[in-house]
Amino acid sequence: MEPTCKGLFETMGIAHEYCGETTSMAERLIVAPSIGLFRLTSVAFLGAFVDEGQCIGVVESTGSARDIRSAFSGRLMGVLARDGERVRSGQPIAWICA
Amino acid sequence: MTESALSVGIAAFADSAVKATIRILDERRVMWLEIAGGKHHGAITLQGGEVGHRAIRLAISQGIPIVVVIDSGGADVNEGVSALHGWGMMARALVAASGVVPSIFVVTGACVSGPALLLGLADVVLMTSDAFSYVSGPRDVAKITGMSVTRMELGGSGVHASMSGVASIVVGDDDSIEAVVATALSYLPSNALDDPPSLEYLDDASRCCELAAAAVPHSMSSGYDVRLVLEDVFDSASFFELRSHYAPNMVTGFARLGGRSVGVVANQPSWRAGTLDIEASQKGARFVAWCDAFNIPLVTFVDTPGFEPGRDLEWRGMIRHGAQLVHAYCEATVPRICVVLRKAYGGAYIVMDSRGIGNDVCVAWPEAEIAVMGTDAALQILGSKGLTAGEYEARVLNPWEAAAHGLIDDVIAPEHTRGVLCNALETLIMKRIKPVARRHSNSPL
Repeated sequence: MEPTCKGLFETMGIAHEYCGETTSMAERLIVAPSIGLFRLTSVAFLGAFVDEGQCIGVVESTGSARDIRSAFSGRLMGVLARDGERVRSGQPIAWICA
Repeated sequence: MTESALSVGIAAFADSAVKATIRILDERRVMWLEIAGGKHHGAITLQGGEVGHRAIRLAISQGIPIVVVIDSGGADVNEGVSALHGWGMMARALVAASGVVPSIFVVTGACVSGPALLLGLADVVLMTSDAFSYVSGPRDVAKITGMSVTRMELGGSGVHASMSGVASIVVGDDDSIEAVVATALSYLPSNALDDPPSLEYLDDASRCCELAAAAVPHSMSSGYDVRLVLEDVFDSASFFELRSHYAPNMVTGFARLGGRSVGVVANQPSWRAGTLDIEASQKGARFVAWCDAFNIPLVTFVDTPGFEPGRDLEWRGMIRHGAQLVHAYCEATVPRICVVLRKAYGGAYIVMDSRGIGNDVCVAWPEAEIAVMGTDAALQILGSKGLTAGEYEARVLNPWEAAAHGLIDDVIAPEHTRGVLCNALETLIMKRIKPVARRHSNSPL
């Protein structure tokens, strides 16, 4: 008989959680915490190591600025937002390879 | 016709989650497809996908609308890759149905993962207020971005009504679903070879539109709700708005003129002055293309100062998305009537179904300003040459310049708008244009 994965998840007791698509990749995104103007604050070299919690920029809005911190550790692969760009909450600012 | 007399199950015992029935809704046959329940929260299996595919293909051959009521966790991962194939088959069938028979999706709970893309293929999407839909869920968003979001924050009905534009209408509860679906279908033919239903009407075709006339302020800088104009001009209580909370600077919906269905596109001066942006252009374009596919004449109301300026907009593709609206109108071969209410400046005037892109009848109200630009912008360029605001407004900001060049057909009293539109539609209703021989145009999607 040919091998089949039918029922594999069920037999392993994986519950249905309306989880949606699942992405399998080592890359992670650093996203804007709020709406505002993006300012790059650190001199970010491509390939440089970014620590979890490290600040790479700020989002400026009226009278305030919020740090943009990486939720992951990894190598900086690219900065996606441009300095001075108006960004939305959750918009990808940079991507790293964990 | 009674419902029991013509309710026919399709592959009724083939799948526990996907159930298809040809039934009567508001005296019309529809293919009613329910995707819910079963063993895994309405998850779509290969067998379920085959049932859906067969039902949609049958609807195409029968020329009847498709209604899909869905509460599904997506493809059934327990079946492996064959379940993905299942919803892929449904997607292919839905695309084959696009522009052939109307398709309406109703989300009553979840619609997640890959099959959520089916919503993007549908003509109309209804969501109940507690429904949600997304491709990638909160777990994956947290995994990749570190952001914590709830299902409703990510893809709740409110998000899809206002942010993504996926939801055409949000209904409060399941009980009103059938009535709203029937109302939407009442403006549409059962298939693209039919004309839309024409209803008997009691509203006088030549009724004066004092409310519409009074709704538009004389001041060019004042906002107003264009829906007051629409509700007065069209048959009484016939205006049915779609996607009202998404891109509110552009109003789209159906209405009736002398009992005939028409598609309505209007700038909304009460929202960011009725400027055109990316979302408004997309919203208008898809609606225009949809009306054209189903033989529904278009009536466009123009009051826009232009395209919204902004680096963000230009970077996100204002050119490509603005072109979508131009493309949709230029391709539309249904009767097209344009009414210029007030401001019609520059490129935005052109894309709102101007004579240049092919309207059939175009009229303007007497205070309309059809011009390359408004006074302030003109003075920045021409003021150094001694032109005054008064001279510019007297010479350029009026409907007569456009009328003299044949770009509008008439300048009408606002109160007579309904009568003019009824007459124009009656004259144009037999319009037929043979499509040119080509596979299809290359739309700026």
